[in-house]
Amino acid sequence: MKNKLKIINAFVLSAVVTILFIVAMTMLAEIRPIIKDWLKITFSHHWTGKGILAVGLFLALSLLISFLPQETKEGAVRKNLFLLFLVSVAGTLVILGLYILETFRFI
Amino acid sequence: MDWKTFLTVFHVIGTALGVGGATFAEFFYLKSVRDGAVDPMEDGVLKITFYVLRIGMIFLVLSGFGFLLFYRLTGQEASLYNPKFLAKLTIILILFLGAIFWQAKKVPLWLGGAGSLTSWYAALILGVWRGLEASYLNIMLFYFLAVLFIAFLLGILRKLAGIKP
Amino acid sequence: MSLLLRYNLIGHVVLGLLGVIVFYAAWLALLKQNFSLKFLRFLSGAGLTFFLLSLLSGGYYYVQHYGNVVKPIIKAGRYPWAHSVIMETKEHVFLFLPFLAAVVFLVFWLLGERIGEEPKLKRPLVFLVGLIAVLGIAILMAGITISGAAR
Repeated sequence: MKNKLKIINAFVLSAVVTILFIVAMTMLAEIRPIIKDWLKITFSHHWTGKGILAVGLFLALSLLISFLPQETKEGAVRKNLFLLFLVSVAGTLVILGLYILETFRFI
Repeated sequence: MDWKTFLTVFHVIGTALGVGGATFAEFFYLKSVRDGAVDPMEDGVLKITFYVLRIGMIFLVLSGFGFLLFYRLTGQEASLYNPKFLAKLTIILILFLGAIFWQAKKVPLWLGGAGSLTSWYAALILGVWRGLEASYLNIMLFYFLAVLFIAFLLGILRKLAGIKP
Repeated sequence: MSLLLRYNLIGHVVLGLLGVIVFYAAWLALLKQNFSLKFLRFLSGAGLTFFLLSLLSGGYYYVQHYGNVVKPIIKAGRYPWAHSVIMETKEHVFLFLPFLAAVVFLVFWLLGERIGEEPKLKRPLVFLVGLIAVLGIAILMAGITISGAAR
């Protein structure tokens, strides 16, 4: 059971960080075109680059966190699942807001 | 059989199962609670009715999106912004989200039943009524008024049948 | 549009739709007091698979065709915001779904037996599964909006 909690917690936390990464990369790529260009050059398309980096980050972090020595309590898994929910909602709203502001020339 | 006919057949089957399922579910439920309780036999019938209704929903959604793809791939993209189609899509969304609130017991009985019945019949009527010329807002306003009217009618039916709230 | 691109577009829509249907069904099932863990495990696995396949087929269509052919049509048309707001949001938010689906899948498989016994563990799952279904529906609606503007 302890191992299962640890593995799940690792994947949940990785998902939180990955979603934050996707949001951050999206914003940075719009605000700093050099980042979008780097993604295009390295991965042939900026969206493909964001996807591949996100998957790599998710898997690497999940493995890393699963091997950390600390014990995981069930309460922590519950809290992190809620955190994942909140981060996903916030991330969606931030991305939507970014493109609305950009389209209607507020930024 | 061409793709449009194939999609139409499945869409009609989905609508028939959904409309029929919703209608029978409402009347079976009214009959079941007349004596104050739902016995195992009545519960079994209701379960099958809801199961058929959900199959209808799946057929409807799959064939509906099939139509969207068909319009997209045959240069009829303008159909996707048709007010009647957008109203039908909104009503189906209300139906789907309503089912969730119903399952979570966040919807009162008078609204859940009326909402489901009205939504299914509205989707049917909007699908069949070819010459309807109305704006999205007009259709939605009429839909919401219809939900309230059906809720009122079902309330009268419950009273006549002696069903306590 | 070539046949390969056509099949990728159809695959993207159908697989994404199946993923949404499956997570919607999981949301409904999870809200019951007595749910079938076997059913939830099957649904979450199927949903994750559908989303991954939809991502791959949609990604191919997007990279090979949408950017060069469809995007200029939308931007030059009556509804340019269909690309600059709706499509841009959709292409990034869609990236969230496989990660969310993977987490839900793992929870059902590794902690499934505890969900029924502990309401405190069930609650965040109801929220997450619901979020996947709602985001999926929003993405489907976004797809309709974008397709309708491509004329």
